[in-house]
Amino acid sequence: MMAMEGVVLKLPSFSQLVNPNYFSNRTPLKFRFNFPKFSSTASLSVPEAAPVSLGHSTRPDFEILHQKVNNGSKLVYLDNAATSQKPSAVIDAVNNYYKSYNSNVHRGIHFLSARATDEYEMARRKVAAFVNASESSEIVFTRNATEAINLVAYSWGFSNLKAGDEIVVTIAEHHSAIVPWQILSEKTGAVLKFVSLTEDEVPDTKMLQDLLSKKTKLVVVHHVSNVLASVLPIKDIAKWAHDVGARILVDACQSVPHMVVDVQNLGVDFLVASSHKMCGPTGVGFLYGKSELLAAMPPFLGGGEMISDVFLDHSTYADPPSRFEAGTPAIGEAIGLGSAIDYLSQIGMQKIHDYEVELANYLYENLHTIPGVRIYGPAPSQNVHRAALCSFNVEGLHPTDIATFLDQQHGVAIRSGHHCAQPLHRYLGINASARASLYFYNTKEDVDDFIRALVDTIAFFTSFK
Amino acid sequence: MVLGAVVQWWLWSSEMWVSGGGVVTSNEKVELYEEGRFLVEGYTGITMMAMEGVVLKLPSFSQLVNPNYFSNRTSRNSVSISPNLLLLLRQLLFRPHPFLSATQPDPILKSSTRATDEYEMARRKVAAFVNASESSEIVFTRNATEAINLIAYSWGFSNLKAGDEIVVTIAEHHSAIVPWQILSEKTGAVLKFVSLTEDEVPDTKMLQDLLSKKKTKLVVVHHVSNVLASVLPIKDIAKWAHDVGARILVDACQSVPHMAVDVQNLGVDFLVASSHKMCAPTGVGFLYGKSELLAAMPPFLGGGEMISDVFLDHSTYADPPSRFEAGTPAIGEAIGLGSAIDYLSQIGMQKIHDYEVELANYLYENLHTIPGVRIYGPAPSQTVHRAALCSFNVEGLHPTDIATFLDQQHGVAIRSGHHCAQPLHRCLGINASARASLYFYNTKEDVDDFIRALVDTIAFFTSFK
Repeated sequence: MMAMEGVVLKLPSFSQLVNPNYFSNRTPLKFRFNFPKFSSTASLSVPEAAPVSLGHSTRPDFEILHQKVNNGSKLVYLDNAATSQKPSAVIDAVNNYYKSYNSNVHRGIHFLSARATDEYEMARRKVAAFVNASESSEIVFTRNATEAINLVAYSWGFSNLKAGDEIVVTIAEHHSAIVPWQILSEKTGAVLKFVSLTEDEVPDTKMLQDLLSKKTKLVVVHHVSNVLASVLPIKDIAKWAHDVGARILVDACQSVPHMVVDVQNLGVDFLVASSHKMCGPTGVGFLYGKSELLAAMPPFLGGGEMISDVFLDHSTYADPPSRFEAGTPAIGEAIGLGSAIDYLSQIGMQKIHDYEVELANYLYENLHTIPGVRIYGPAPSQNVHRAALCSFNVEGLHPTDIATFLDQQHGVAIRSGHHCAQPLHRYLGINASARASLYFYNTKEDVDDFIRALVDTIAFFTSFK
Repeated sequence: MVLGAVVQWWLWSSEMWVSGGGVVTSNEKVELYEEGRFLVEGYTGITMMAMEGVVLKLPSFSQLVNPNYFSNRTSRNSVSISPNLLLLLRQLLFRPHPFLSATQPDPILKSSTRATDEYEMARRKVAAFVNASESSEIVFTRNATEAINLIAYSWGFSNLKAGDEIVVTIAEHHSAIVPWQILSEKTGAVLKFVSLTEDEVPDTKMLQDLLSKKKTKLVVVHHVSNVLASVLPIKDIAKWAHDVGARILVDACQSVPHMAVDVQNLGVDFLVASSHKMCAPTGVGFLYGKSELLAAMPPFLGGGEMISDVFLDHSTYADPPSRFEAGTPAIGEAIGLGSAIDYLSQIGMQKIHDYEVELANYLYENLHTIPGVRIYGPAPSQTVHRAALCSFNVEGLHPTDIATFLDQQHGVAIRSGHHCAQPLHRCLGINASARASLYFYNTKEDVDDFIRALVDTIAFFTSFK
């Protein structure tokens, strides 16, 4: 049995050193003592020289993970598909904004306003670079991915869709990728066509191709499913859509945080994601749209910032992206998102993805072996990569009971319900499922804790039968 | 016969142990007897407690009030007993316990997540701050601009038709004008503009004349003007609007942060404000709407959270306010707004307002005496209170030059431009103005510094002539 102690000095980052406020705003240096977790499995203790996993090396950056909850259990946070935690760097960036240069952006002359504007537009450039947009003006900041999809529906949709036109979506889409198009359909007479699943429980890409026709104007698909953990071949789907003259909108909420996403390489027309799922603050998300598409789109929300001139009887509008950003933006939050992108980029999205594939397999294998557990989505293999999440049910148990017991007794945080995917659940013949979802700061020990806790949970409930 | 077989121990959280006597951790061992009797042994570091009691797996409070709770339950092991019996048992079980402090928290209500609690607490704080009759009358948005667009797209599109009239003033912010222009283009409704009196305040007599029983459906007015510093008699205007069967929307961005605003007393139908103008983060704002109005309004943004059920061909929607909050909200930012409201309330809005009236007079008097300075809006008097801001021009100088010099040479941050009020500036016969605007953390010394700096600025530029 080994005991290790370490003193970790929180050294300032380079960006903090060049921050003129660094020395004046400093709170006292924090020392962190890192104690390794002792695995109760039969595996050997890890010798000092062993490589540290990405989960272990990043965990210290996330203060929120180091707490006890409920009955004194340590927190095991496995609800990352719902929202991610934020590293200190992001929290500090947002705090620094409010402490040092909070000001309204655009057309402000003074020192604070100039700095706020620079940082806000810098955040936009960071997002653009992160997804490899060709220009930063192709990035529109919104509240979240849901608003971004509504923007496309209200602006592009209303001016491009008419009665009889078809929108192809999959049965596995998040409500935010379905409901805006239902609203649009009611008003325009456009029709939604749903792609169902194969036996492997992935969207049927053959059926998708068959559904595409000259009537199809838009294809709306997720990149990675928040329930099935499956990954769609976006590059192919984009090509098929373009072949019939349709546009493609990709819901990348579960992909952008976890892997390299290159909008030019994928060839997508629109792509949406939310900041809070990628280590950034709530209150901001973004839409990527090809320049020529955005340029042709009428405004959505009207007001300050998005106009060029306002007369009594009409107004003229700004160019994108301002045209779609009405009123004071979520300035501090966008800056926080920029900081999150810096943090993720520093690790490297490929490295994050590779680690998560490992975790995904480990989670699936361990969960799969528990009797009575039914996992949804495809089985992982050499050519089928799953996201690091599992939605599952246990025979005879209600997912809410599972999730509640896991939380109350074991401090394990998962989610239960329909995960904003009712059509998918109805299709699978269930009301709800439990879902454990991981991120790069999770470890195999987290998975072990979850599995152990789940076994205990099942035993507890089963003992009544 | 209360239960078939299911009895579960629930709800002792670590917090409850702490409140009972300073215990840090507990190990619980649960043994279950038939027919609902069981013994709980709690091991603490200090004391050992044994309790007997009948504990049922009670649904959380939010689950209890969810009408779908009992119909959607599928597990055989879950308890399905009548709500009345549940409530009775709850009273029996969770009476104050002799071993614990009298302030033991209600275990059922504690079952919501902390983030949800704090977010909804923030909503209640906003409701209380403006004296809404229920917290469900507060919808969180990105900012006041989005709130106005929400009304335009949702209430506007379902209530306005060709020929209907919307009365606005020429002094409105772009965000209170452009959404109605967009709506007018699409519906054929017409905007009617109220111009200014000689005192440079909106002409309330003209406003009354413009109101017509047959045609006016909506009146959109600011409470406090961000350029003129004038205050409109909202209570009167609301009454006049209602007398002709019209609704009133108030842009309270410049009033809610600075004075007590009581929506019930004012009698308004809709009111909007932004968080970032009241000591709180960017990324959140709110709409107040009377319950009956919100209840009748169709959704605006579609997606997760705002639905009740999602089918392939249609969806059913949640009640307000959820109906108008699609996707993950700006959770952290709303909580920040709640904290800002605590801060402001602790000072007292009346106290803030009284101090700002003093500052407003001091600013006006000192600015007024500088030769060549022209301040817009009414002169302050016993009956005319100005907000603590002055938009002004200096003869022969461009406001951008003034603002730049003030910033570069003197560190004084003011704004120059049209302040999102182009129609107003055009009405006043100018392109742009400079604007100094104060808040309760400004002092008379700040005003003195500004005046001194402005005099220096004017001298500098005048020396070239």
